[in-house]
Formats: sequence, C-alpha cells, structure tokens
Amino acid sequence: MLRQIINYRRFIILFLIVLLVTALLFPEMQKRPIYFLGRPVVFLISGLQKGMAWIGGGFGNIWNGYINLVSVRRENERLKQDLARLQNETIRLQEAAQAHERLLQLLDLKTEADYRAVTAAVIGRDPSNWYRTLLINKGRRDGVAVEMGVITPAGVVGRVIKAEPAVSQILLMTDRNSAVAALVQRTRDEGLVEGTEKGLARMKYLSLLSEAKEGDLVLTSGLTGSFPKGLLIGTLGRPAKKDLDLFQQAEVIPGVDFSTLEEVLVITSLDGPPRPDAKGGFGNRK
Amino acid sequence: MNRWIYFMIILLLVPVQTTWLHGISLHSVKPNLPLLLVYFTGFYAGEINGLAAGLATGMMLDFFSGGPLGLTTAVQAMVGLLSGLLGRFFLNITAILTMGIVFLLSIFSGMMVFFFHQWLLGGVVLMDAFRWTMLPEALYNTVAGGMLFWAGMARLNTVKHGTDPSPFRPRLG
Repeated sequence: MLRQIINYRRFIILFLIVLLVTALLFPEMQKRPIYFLGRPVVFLISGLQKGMAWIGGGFGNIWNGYINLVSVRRENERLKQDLARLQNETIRLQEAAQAHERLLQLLDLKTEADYRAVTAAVIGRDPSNWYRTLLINKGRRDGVAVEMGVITPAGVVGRVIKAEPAVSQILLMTDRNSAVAALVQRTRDEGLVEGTEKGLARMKYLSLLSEAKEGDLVLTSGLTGSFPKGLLIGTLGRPAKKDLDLFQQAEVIPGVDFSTLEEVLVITSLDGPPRPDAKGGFGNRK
Repeated sequence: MNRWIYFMIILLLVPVQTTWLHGISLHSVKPNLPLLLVYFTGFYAGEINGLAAGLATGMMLDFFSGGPLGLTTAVQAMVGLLSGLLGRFFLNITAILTMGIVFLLSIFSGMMVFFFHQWLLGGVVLMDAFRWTMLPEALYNTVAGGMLFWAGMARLNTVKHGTDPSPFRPRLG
C-alpha cells in the first residue's frame, strides 16, 4: 500500500515536471530562456566533451596519420590548407581590385573589411539531427559573444548563438534557421543565403534582372553586423524562379566542408585589420 | 542497476552523442542514442522510469541543442512514457519487434519535434523534414536498436515480466 502511494506520488511529481517543461516551451518563455539553470550541467559535460574530442582526435590522428601513409597525408593536408588560403586570398584581392575601381569613382567608401578574430577548436556537434550547430572551446572569457560571425580560411561557417564562460555554440550557415546577407561577386546582386533541410544553402531574393549564373562566387555583403564584406560563402548553382515569384533563388554549395571542421575563427571585432599568421589563418589569435 | 551507474551512463551519453557519433554519421544523420536509452528504460522498467530517463537525458541534451529550450526534454519524456505503456503489451521480445517499435518511436519523436518547432519557430516543410531528417534517423535508430538488443538484451536471455516500479532499476531477467 505504502509502495503504491509512493509510486503514485512519484508519478505526480514527474507529471508536474513534464507540465513545467511544456510551459517552458511557450513562446513567451522562449523570449527569456533560463539557460543559467543549465550552466553547471554545461560546465560538467563540456569538460567531458573536451576530453572525448581530444581522445577522438587522437585516435583519428593515429588511424589517419600513421596507418594511412604519414607523410603523404600530411603534405596533402598542408597543400589543401594552402590552396584554401590562397583561394580566399585571390577572392579578397579580386574584391579589393573591384572595390578600388569603384572607389575611383566614389571616393568616400571604406576599402577593405577589417576585423579581429580568435581561434577556437570544435569540441562537439548538435546532439540531434534537426539542428546544425557546433560547440567550440572558447566563450565569454575569450571575448566571444552572441551574434559574432564564425569563419575559416575557406569561408563562412556561421554565427554564435550561445556564449557560456568557457564554451560557445555556433549555428552553421546550413541550418534552416540561419540567414546571411550575401552578394554575387561578378554581378554584385544582393540576396540572402539561408540553410536548407538537405544541409546545403540557398540564395534567395535574387533580382529577376540578375545575370548571375551557375559557378559564380557568393560573398558576404557586410550588411549585417556579424561579417565583414567580401568573405566567401560558396558557389552559386543555377538560378531559377517559380511561377509568380518576384525573385529568383539558387542553391549555394558552401565553401567550407562542415563535416571535417576542427578549428574555426570567431570574429570578435570588425575594427582591427586582419593579420596573416604562420598557420595560414588570419586575425589575432589568442 | 544502481541509480548512480545509470546517472553516469546518462551523463556520458551526451558527450558521446555530440562528439564520437559524428564519426559514424551518414549524410550528416547519426543515430539517436539517448532515444534508444529512453526506449529500453521505459520498455523494460516501466513508464515512470522511462519518463524519468526521458526528462534527465532531454534536459541535458537541451543545453547543447540549437533548438528551443525544453523541446528535447518534452519529446524524450513523451518517448519514455510511451515506451513504458507499450511495454505493458509485450512479453516475448524479439529483435524484429524491438526494431519495429524503435522505428515507430523515432518517427513519433520526429513528428513531435516538427510540431513543437513549427509552433515555436515555423518555417519547416513537413515532407522535406520527413525525407531528410525523420526517416533517415528512424532507419539509423532501427538498425542501432536492433544491434543494441542483440548485443545486450538478447545475450542476457532477457524475458520481460511487466514493469518494475523501483526507480532506475530495469528488470533484466
């Protein structure tokens, strides 16, 4: 009898917790989420994640580095990094040249996108398949804040959506809830790059008169605060429009391979100049 | 099972899900191990334990998910409760039955996430979500659930005798 009463009481307590959780889901509560309740959990589990990411990285390195032709793979990796860096550099220079031409006509424009960044290691990914996020090992203590842009030498990664003292969460640009202001490099047409269900991206709101075509490069337009102008987002697919649509849209193949991301740069300030470093990155590393 | 061991399993499951499982993902879809844990707990130890396991895993996962706070907790709790209720109807469990139930629960879980996401944020097309997220995850969970059953439950010659009201103590034969 006593056991039944205890069980009954436990069921009521659990049911009340479910009600509380459901109440948390109401849109009004989501406007002021109580993440501080989870800080001890985040602190504890992110510590475990760092350890597991380190162990996983160690095993991966042993497997890939020693069993799979050590020197060839390393050289290949280095060359790939160099290629990505040089591609980005080429794009930046093309951007600078085009900007220079325009500036000859319009004198008062700012010539290049300046920013400072901190390097962070990826220590985890979203636990569900519904959202595309990354967890990095830098947080508010390192100057990271919500809405800051995240990049790699190969292009745009996403933006910070949560910043804890020691870790932060990044929403990838391929998540369906992400949107980045963009422009087509060749035609200067502006639009918005949003994530899709397939894990790719789509450029929307391209003008019907746009002459953008498959293979054009898509860059950040700098209209939103997270990214400076001229960073690579990806390559444009074939623009198309549905009946009665007022704009065209096209798939964008991201410049970054999100499945193999290990390190990223968080843009902490758009004031300072980018500074190339020995590893091929740019920005001030902490 | 000792409740502290069970708590440690839940605690370790979150980093495993967010770090190592990425290595076995297919087209960016990975199996949902916390859902499988909640299913096995609910099915073998009753709906109250399933509900508790769902709440515990869901709350921890919520802090690492890009979705609205509370979504995973609510969905995992429902899965735990439903697993427990389903467990009342079956006595002789086979791998095929386990896989069938895991598949249906995964689809149910996906539909709940879709419903809550649509309610809170909107912008998801059901057919796209089903094709690119729900179905691949359900299939992956089904295979992983069958393997876990084979590796653990079947090898212990598990015979299910209904539900066990004691907290965090699944009856394993």
